[in-house]
Amino acid sequence: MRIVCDSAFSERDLIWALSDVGRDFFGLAGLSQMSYRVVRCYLNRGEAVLKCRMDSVDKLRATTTLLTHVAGQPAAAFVVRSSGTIKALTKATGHQ
Amino acid sequence: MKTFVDINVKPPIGEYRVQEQMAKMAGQMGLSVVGVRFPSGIASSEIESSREIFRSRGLDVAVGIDLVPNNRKQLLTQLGALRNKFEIVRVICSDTKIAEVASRDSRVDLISLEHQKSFRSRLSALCNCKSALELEISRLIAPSLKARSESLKALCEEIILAERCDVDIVISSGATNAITLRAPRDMASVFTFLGMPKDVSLKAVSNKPLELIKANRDRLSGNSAGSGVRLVRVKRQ
Repeated sequence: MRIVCDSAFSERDLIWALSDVGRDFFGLAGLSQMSYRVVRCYLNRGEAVLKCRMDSVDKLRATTTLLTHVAGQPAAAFVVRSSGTIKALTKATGHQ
Repeated sequence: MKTFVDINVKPPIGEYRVQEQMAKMAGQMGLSVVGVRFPSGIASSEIESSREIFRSRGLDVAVGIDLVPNNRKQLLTQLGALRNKFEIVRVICSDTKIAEVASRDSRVDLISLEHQKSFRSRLSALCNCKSALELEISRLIAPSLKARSESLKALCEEIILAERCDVDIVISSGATNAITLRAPRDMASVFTFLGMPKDVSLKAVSNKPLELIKANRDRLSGNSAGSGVRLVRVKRQ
């Protein structure tokens, strides 16, 4: 996913922001079912690779859409690509 | 490969840097067609410059207008004057009577029921509706939790009613800057969780708005005489 934000943020800020949005929209149960974690974080490019359960991909997409703030600053996020393996993902996006 | 459309992008008038950011981000998000939407009364030079900014990024641009009539007479006057100048016409229905008239007028492409507060008013607007219903993701990206909860409830009702009354749905971002733009597949995912079937939500960000734009372009170019009627001109020798 790519995060567009005018100010700098950390991986922890991103995780908290996604958790807040996921909890508001899906509740604690839905959030825990998503079972996602940040695998790689490229803060200089504003990109992160997230891993989640296969049946929670759409839930995570929806959570990403509803993200409005990261570290208290206005932000937007969108899913660049989803894939089953990190290798295929990095190959498709051209990043290593 | 699917063609994704965001039929409701509201570039801020005169802020060309923000418009360029929006155009750049729209391309990165996988959008092929963008509908730039303006309120009535904007100068055509501003509309053209916005169109050029988005076009320069390789996006196909359709220009639309939002009508906010106060009464039935004003709605019909505005439709008569503006219908043949824009590729998309949306009516923001401030009350039930306007919603009923707008939804049954074939000159209206999209209606918005954001200001309708009751289930009954939404139902009366969507019964025998000839237009498509537009659902904006910006209604969910609201500042307060209470406003978001109210919008969620309203959107769920609109989805149920649209399915019951067999009304087409179009999903858009309603973005006013780069931060409020959203990717089409991501928007479709949100509405899937609000009760829309997955294939319907994907069509709402691709096929449905595209068909609307194509039909209006055909009509505005003079190749179409009405719904399902194509003009074939024969050269006289």
